[in-house]
Amino acid sequence: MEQLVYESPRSVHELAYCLRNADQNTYLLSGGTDLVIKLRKLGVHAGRIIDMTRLEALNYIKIEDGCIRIGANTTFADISRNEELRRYATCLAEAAAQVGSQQIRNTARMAGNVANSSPRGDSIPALLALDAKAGILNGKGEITYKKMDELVVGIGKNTLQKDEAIVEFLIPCPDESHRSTFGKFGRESHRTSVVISHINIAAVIILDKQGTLVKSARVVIGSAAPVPYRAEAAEKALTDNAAGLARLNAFVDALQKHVIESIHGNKRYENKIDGIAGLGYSVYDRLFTSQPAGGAE
Amino acid sequence: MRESLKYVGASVPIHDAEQKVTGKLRYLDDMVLPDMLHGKLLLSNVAHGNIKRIDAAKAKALPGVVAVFTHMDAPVNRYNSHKWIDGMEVVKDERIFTEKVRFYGDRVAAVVAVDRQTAERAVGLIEVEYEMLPAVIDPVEALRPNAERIHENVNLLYRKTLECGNVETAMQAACRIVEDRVETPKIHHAAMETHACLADVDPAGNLTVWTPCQVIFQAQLIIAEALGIPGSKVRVIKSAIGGSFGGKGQPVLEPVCAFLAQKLNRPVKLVMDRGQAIAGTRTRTKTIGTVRTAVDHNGMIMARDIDVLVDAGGYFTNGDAVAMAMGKKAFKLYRIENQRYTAAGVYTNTPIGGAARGYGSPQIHAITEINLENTARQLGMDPVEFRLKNLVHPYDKDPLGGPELGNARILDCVRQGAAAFNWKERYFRPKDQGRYVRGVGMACCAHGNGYYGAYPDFITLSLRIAADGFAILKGAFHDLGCGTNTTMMQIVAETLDMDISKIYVPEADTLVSPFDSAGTQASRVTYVCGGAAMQAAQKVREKMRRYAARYFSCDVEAVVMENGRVRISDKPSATLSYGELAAIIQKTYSDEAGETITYQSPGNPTSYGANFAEVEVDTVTGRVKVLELLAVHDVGKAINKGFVEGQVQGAVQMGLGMALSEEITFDTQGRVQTMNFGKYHVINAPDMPEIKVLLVEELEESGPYGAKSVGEVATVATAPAVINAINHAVGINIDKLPATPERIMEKMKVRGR
Repeated sequence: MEQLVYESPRSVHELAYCLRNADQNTYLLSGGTDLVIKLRKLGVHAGRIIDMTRLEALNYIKIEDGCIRIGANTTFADISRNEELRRYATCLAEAAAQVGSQQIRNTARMAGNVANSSPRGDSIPALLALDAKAGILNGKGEITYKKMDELVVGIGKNTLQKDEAIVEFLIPCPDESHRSTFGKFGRESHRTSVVISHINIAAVIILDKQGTLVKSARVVIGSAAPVPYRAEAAEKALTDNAAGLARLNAFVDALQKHVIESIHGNKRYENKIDGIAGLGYSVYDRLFTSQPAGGAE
Repeated sequence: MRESLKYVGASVPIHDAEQKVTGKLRYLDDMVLPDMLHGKLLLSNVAHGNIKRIDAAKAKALPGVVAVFTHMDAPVNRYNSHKWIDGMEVVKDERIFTEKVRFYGDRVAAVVAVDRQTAERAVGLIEVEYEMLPAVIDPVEALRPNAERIHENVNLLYRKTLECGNVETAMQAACRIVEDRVETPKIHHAAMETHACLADVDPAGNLTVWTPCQVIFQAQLIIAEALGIPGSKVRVIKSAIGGSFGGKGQPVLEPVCAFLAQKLNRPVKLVMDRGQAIAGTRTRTKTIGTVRTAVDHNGMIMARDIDVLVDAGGYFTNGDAVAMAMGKKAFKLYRIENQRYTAAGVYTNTPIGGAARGYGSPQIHAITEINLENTARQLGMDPVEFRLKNLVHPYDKDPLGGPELGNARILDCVRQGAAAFNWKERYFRPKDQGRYVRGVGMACCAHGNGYYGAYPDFITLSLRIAADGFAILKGAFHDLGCGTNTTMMQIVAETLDMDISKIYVPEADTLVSPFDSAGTQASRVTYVCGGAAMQAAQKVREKMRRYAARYFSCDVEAVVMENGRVRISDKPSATLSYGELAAIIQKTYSDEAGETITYQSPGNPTSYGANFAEVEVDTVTGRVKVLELLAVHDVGKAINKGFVEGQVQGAVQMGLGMALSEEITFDTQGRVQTMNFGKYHVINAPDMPEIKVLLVEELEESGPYGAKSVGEVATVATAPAVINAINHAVGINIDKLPATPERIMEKMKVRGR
């Protein structure tokens, strides 16, 4: 008789124990908003589910040793509402606020979003732009750290071993001169909420003391290629250039060039080129003006 | 009639509101019968092909599976689910299970199992081998002489023309002719509840079928035709419904579910998932319309020529009826002396067309109202002024000789709406210069009130006051969430002047409800059924007055009925409650305080409306935000203001979807690409604009308390108003709905902004 075994570890220690025997039929449940649908779709009726959502010890958002730490059992709803994240990791809080619907955000965890490694995942570009690391626990109880681009490597592909689970995220705590934002559009629709990213962007800038020149920038485009990537030309357009229309246009042009390259002439994705321009203008507005311009986004 | 109204016009809450919000109402899928089995359909995953082989061995071997049925076990009887009354001439081309699949979503097989999970798993184990045929997706392609045939005959279903005056001559005399070609998409109704049905068999072999449907007698008829049994052996009971919008009008699951129960001699429940409801039920009919409007220098319409191609999908159903319904509406909105409407219907390998809120009105008015706004623009005229010159006036005649328009108040709608919306100022204000550009648009619309003039339109009702003082109104009423039953309660309460909470209006049941010719469709309920309820109540009232006069030995004129009591005007002591009088009538006169009447619809006046929309277009991405929408409706009289406003709000939501995002799309093989709400985008709450509703209540004499329909007409003007606003904002001409960001950008790039 086929069986679906359900385990719900209550401590990190128990989690490590559960991971020890993980095999190809073991699934980590981190909210389940993707996994449950996937299991049903694939007709999986046997195996083992390790439910991460009872791990109270992993439900936290805190600042420690110059780092923002987010436990793997923190929902997107909590991330989107957290005051410190909204200030120090704005792009992540904004991305979290735009994941699925409120119902999804109440259940879905960021760890699941990252491990699912969908090119359309909203948190991955934000984490990559923030230079975040994921803390990964294995069956032996050891924790290692990986940056986002070492972790998410293809469509639905990551470098996690079967006996590994993401247990937290570390984000370097930036200084006051730091600003960040996130934007996304869904496919073929005017919709502003409950959309799956057709194109998204996360941008982080560090400003000089006067607050006018960008000392460094990290700009990530998501949902345009198999994995979110750093838009280096767009970063360059922002860095050390004087404020003004020329900088804005160079930034948007660079973003469009990145996307054009990413979509390899695929007609179906052509509208991402307009999409990234729209996002680029809005993101720029939010990064450089205290009062963002209105609009439909 | 009393001067002031107590119940009519009030916002009485829907009768089952509390049950709905507390989760107590039992929808079909909440129903459980002893020994009940669960069915699951296998729908085709190819658009066109002959079934060569079906191997259900693995499915049958799964523990818990009771049976698998395919076309080899199902009756060969053909039917047309569009037929709702005996005597209708229809093309019958549908079967319970098909041997040839004609669209992605056609019914191939059903599994029946002890529980739903098992049935779902077993469906995945059925292997079907097809002899693939070329899929014809484009209706224009389908018309080509060498196109792959979808049924035995050619794909062209019919070609029909309606005409008044002389279009050719008038066109030649015109100073300007404006032509547009507009395409409207296949749309899913998106009711919250997917299609569901439950059927049981009694020891005598009689079937009982519970279904969230719009027409019980239609379900009975179609089940009987499909199974080849007398309709009287089939009892259909309308269950609670989680929305229909036309989607549950034609029986889809009913004959299938009845067949499964009949074969297995056990109750079977059949429920669709969202993907099945999108592909495998009915859709709003896709249309491609070409309009040529001829005008003179003063902006008077001299002639109009409309040519529409109607894409019926894989089966005929109402392919011709919807085309004719579209045509007739084109003659009821403007005074156009010379007009021609030509329609051709065609089969394609796409999901079946059917009834959908508005029944062709949203399509024809999208096509013509976009064209009229373009005409006004080309004339350099204010579109409102242009329309005011040409719209119909109250009591105008239908130029085709159809039912009279009645107290047609579209001019009031446009005038009042334009003033309330501040139209002129917004239309002529300078264009925004930045990235986001605003624009305004408007559109008018017309829709009917029932079937008078086209099909039999009557209802039999039985109204009785019991000795306990309650009034029971029996009729084949199907509340679809719009407040049908409550509307009837209000009319009865008003007419009898009694406490509305003592009026009971049960839902339709073929065994106990008197016959009704057409069900809850065609915007007929308030006007026709409400008229019937009013007449029944008047008759009961008169009967009770007669008996009261006899009992108190006075003149009938002296009998006053008010507030649930009967009294004699000059005899203060002579007073009875309605219940007491009912008991006396029964005991003393061997009669009931009730009447059964058959009410024939007295006409088919036209309901009108106008929408005014303001949008903001993001010129970088083509994304549109609807900022405001004003809906003005000529409803005659709102029986229930809350319901009317609710209808309008919901209808606008559907109209916005048609304008901006809703479309069932296909890949090159005809596979549906929008099988869930992640890919099929309805307008959701955060994107809804502020909707203002303005009612013109000028009373339609032939309707109960002056009322006429609003449920369907309310969704008609929205899409063209929004499209016109987009066109106005950025100076483009959208010719394909929905106006997705991509289509808007395409047009803007062509225009070279």
